[in-house]
Amino acid sequence: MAAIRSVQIPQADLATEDRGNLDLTVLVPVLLLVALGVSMVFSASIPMAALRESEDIYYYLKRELLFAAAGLTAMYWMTRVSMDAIRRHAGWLLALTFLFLTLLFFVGVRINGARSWLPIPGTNLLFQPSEMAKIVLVIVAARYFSKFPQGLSSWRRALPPFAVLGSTAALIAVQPDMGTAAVIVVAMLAYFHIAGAKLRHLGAAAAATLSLAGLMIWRNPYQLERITNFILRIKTPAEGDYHTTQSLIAMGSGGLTGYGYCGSIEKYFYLPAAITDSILAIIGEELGFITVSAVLALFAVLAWRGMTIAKNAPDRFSGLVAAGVTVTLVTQALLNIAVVTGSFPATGVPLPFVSYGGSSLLFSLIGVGLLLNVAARQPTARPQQGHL
Amino acid sequence: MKHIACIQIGRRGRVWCVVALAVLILLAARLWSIQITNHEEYRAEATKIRTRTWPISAPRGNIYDRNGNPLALNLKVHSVAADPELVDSPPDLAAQLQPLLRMPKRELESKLAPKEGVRYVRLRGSVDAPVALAVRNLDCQGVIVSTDWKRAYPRQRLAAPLLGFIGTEMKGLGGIEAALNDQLAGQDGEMLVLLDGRLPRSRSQIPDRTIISKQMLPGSSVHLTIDLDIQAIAEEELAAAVQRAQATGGTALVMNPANGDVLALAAYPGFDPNEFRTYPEETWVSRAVVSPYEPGSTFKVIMACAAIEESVMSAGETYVCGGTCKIGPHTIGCAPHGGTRAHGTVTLDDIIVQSCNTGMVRLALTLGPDRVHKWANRFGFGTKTGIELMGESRGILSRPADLSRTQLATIGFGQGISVTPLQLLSAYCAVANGGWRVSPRVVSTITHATGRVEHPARPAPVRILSSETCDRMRDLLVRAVEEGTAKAAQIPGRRLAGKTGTAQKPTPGKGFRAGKYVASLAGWAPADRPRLAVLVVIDEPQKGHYGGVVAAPAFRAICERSLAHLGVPPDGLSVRREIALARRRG
Repeated sequence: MAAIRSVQIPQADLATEDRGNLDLTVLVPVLLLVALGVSMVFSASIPMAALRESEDIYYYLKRELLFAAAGLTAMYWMTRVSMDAIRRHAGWLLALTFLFLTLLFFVGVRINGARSWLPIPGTNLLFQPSEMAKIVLVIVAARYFSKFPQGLSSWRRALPPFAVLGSTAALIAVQPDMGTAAVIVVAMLAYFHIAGAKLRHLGAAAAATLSLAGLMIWRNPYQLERITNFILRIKTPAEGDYHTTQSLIAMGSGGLTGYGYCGSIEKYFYLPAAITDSILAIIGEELGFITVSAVLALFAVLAWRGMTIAKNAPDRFSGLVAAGVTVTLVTQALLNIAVVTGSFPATGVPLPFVSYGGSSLLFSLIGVGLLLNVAARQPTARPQQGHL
Repeated sequence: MKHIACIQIGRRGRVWCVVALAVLILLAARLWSIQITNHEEYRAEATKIRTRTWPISAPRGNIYDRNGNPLALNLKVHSVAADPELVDSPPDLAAQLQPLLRMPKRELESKLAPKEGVRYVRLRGSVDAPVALAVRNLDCQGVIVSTDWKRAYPRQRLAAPLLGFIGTEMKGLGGIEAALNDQLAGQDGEMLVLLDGRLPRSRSQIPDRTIISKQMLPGSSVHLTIDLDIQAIAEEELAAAVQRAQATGGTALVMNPANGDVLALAAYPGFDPNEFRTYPEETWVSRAVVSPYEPGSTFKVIMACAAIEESVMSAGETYVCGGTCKIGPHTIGCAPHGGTRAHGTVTLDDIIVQSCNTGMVRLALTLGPDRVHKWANRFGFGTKTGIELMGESRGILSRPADLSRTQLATIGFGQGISVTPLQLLSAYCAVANGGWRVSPRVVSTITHATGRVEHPARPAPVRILSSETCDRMRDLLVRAVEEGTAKAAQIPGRRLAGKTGTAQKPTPGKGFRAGKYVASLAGWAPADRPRLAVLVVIDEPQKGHYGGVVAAPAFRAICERSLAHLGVPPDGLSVRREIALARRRG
């Protein structure tokens, strides 16, 4: 099995940070997802691109290829960087994230009602700090929790990570980007539990989150509407909200094998966010149940393999980073799939590796790079027994 | 470095991993229910919201004259309409549309104002292509710009009753348009269009996804036997004659005696089929086909042919015309206005040439009801000619048993029988062409969209007269022009055959009344090798009422100009001699 899922470089030295094994069980699914994403972004963006003044149907494809190239480069770089250096710079990264999230209040670009993007000077590109926050929170929490291998014994010790998580999520929620905030909170709570937080800590945090969410819903009635729409739709499927209805029509009409590549009709302005959050519905419409279930399977492989890498990591920090990256990516994927299949109220969460968007792709691939970094340094000579 | 009490990343990680996998399995099950179990319902729903069936309107076939000149064509027109329910602000939209459509702003506003259940309001029926494009480029919600075909008659009034016109939904309502509607209309096609999701604002077709579900078949084009130039000549001369005589109307008919092709079918007053609604309904029809009249003396030719064929009056036999004769209680005179004009001793030939009524009464009475009926029937009276036009009249020809003695007598000079001008001229064609009854027709060929050219079958000519009878009749009708009642029809250098008619017009319920006449002249030219059979009928002339006065000038002009148009050299002049003459002149 080991020979199949990893390339073994002879004379791998476990003690040094060399390239070691390239974990194909992670890399291949990720590359497949990125390839699928680029192809589907092209197909789904044709109607939108044709409406642009340039009428360049390759507009979004070109940009997505650029993002993929940048992301893969960053991923490669992350496989080579020293985990210790990352651990040491965690504080700076957190400060930078907070700076960006705060900057949004002043120079943020508003798209679809949410002020979630920073313009990158000198380019026509936008940067989404909340995507950066996902990975930085993983690193920061890994650093904190690795100091307490026995777990968080007291409320006082539990406070810092929950405070950082809470403030980050709050900054994202007020953009308002409830989807990303929800992903971060759910993923981090699970992650904190894996890292050593006690269930009562999680309970308290969940209670705080829910009350905060209640406040946000009260401030932004459209959030409530989405939830009531969702409940309505469960009762009478025909009545549901437009977004979910179109998503279901796209997937449902695709059937087992779909209309064929570029055959989607929902992408012609029926399905909102066709190239970003709803891309899976277009995949379902064009390539059918077979491909969508394959996407689900690829994320299942990532979940399982990511946790195995975390378990077998050479040190606790690396293990926590691997677990955090895995939890974050899988949570996003689950939430996205749940929304697209109408199993969860409509929320704007991209599907990692597949949805159009530079920041999402870049930081997802950076996360994968860290995962591969950890995987490369795990001891392969003997089966691991779980803890170090 | 082992920590016994360490939190095990692997164990808690596995727990969450299993949770994630369980959720994934649930989502996969949900996916199965959406994409596999309910696939059909979703596909049906998708089809319902996206697919529309749009008609592809088939262009109607064109109508041409025998030389390919267009008489009826299709124009591409654009129309602007609106769906008031989708209009955001009627005043704003009205302000935008007003300069383009050149309509009063107030009118636009009231049309755009939302009304219960009204989803389509026509703003402007036909606009130019650039205006249509400009309106489309406004990209305003609720504005509908559509393109359609409009029937156009480029020659306006020319041959209008023959061509007919188009009512709503492109359905032919008169003339050829109605008679050949099925061939001209073609078959509308249908396309399945996939609309994009830009609701409700300017939804448009998704490119390359339109399916032609039913192929459109363009209408067939029709070539008529009409000669546009002869038609124009006939209409012009008819109008002049009617106006000159201050008559109520008239009709002129030109046929090719050899095969029955109608070369011109003129009616006055006419109408413009482009705006047919502004003309009275009675102008919409081809009177020569639908309106029977009492032909008067022009009918004597038919009776005379019958008399010759039946040998009721031998060559040397004479009859003494006393100017009047008495049939029962009625007195029949030789002049239609009641005066007396005795022709004296006349032969059969003289009866025709001098148009002697009492002589014809004698012939008709000698023939008897059966033979009169038989011959009228043989010439085609009392039955439809079968011309390709709707509403053709069969005329009124009583059965032999129903013919009273008075009626039999009057039929001899063309009263008491109703015929259509088309029937009459067809009968003349038989005399002109040497005795063959031909079926008149106006449709020459039908060209189908497939490229196939259809030549409608025509009945084979039937010989009804001997050539001797025809030769004798021709000589008599030439004499009628040269020395008889039709002198005004003479053309220098040409021999014409013609017979005048001046019929009293019966008023329904009141019998014949003095003062209302139908003046006519029927004949053919050139007399010996006929190219044209011509009938001119002038209805209720006020200035003069004899056919030889009222109708003859029009007859003459139509013959003269049409023969010139056809390039028929004058009699006695061979082409070669004409060229030689022309050379000598310079």
